[in-house]
Amino acid sequence: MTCPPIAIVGIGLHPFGRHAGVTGLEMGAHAVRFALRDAGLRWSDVQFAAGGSSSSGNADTMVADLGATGLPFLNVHNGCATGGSALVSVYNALTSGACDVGLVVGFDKHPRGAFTERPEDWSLPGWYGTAGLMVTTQFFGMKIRRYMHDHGIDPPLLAKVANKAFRNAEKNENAWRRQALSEEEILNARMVSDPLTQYMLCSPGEGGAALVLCRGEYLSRLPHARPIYLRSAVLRTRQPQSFDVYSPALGIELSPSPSVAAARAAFERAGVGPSEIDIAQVQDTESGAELIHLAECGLCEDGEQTELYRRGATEIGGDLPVNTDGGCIANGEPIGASGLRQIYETVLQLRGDAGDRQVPNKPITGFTHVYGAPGVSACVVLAR
Amino acid sequence: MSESPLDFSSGSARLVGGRCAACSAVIFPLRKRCVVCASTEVSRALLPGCGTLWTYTVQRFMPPSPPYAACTPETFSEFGVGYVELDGVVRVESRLFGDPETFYIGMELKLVTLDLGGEPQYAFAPLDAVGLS
Repeated sequence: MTCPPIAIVGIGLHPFGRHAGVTGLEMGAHAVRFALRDAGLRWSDVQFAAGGSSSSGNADTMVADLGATGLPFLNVHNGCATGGSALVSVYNALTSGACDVGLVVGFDKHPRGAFTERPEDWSLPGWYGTAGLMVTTQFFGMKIRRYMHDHGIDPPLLAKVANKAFRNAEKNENAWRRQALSEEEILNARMVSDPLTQYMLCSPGEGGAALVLCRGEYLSRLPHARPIYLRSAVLRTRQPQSFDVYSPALGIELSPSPSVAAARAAFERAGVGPSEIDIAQVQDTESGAELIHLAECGLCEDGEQTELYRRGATEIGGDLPVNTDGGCIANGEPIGASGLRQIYETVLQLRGDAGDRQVPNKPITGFTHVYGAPGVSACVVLAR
Repeated sequence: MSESPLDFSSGSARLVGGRCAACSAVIFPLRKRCVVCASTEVSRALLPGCGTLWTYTVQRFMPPSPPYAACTPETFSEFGVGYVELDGVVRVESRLFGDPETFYIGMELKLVTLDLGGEPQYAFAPLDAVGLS
């Protein structure tokens, strides 16, 4: 399938963390203004927008802050894939020729502590919540426990992943947790959902991110743009009998995770293979998820992770830098914003604008991946 | 969807699942349509009462309540959660009864009931756990 080139010409971010007195919608609008300024465009130039949050309001109401231009503005509410789903919507609108300039925005502002969900909203019986099973961290603990058992991974590697996240975040002025922690501190911290300790898991947080995209032909009207091309954007949901969040039962023969299907389709549409990727941002809800998702997305083999991290391959100066801005572990998880934060970081890196954390040797291709409940994944391939 | 996952008709507790005549999947919990193929040909099936631990974690903090059973930080105590493989037919997510430090993958477990107030809940416990049914 040949699609017309679609370029990302503007990126904007509201710093992640805790921001008393600032609403999620305000953080989203802040990111939009920065993305427009970066693109050299005005809000009135945007012909189609899509965006959303998990728990911080309707994206289209931010026209109160940006201007009621009458544009079509789609509200997206799709869990951890909210940003990715909004991006797919805008991407499809652009490739179809329905518009020339589109905008994507994601934001959230979650209170402290675990996410609170009603089983009935997830097609689950009430007893599932009463019994204490409606907790996302349990899934991540159980999935990595089995993965470590099957592929010979030891707990110190989980600490190594989180240690890298905090070291990368030290060099990111927009990150939330910017203090480096030793592998010992991470490994010996309070256990939250075994084998995951407090510092291996991301925390619900706050932030916003936005992107301005246009069709290739439109670039002639943006002489100062430094386009990064969106080669593919793919969304997938789970298959039967898969091992996903909030699953009361699993099959004996497990279906592959939706991340496998989304990544495969994203690479195929982009005409780029996993081995050609120069920089990757993958969903690191916790340390183990980063390890598993690298394999599920085809960026490494199952069990290869120990050696990959030992030789520093996933470091900023390595063969395959991973989560270069500190990922969810150091940025926190404002659900609606995380997927677009990954793309913001990748565009920054591909432009060569990432400052102290710039990946050397002028990376050409980037990959991003999100995963969340109840088994949804969005993957994106980008290139200069 | 609010039906209890437990059946006591034989005198002892059994888990209630379903068997799909269209795709032969064994599902849990029982529901009108098969979660694998969406067929309505799902019949009620009692699941095996013993199994082995496939993976597990420990819930170290109090889950948000509700939906968790009425609880306060003072009355909360940590509990194990795992997937228990039942006779090679299905893996069921369950609370685990017993000391989490003694759990291991492959451990043999049996179905027990758990009182959290309200309807009885199910859990799996080590085979040698006593005083449980």
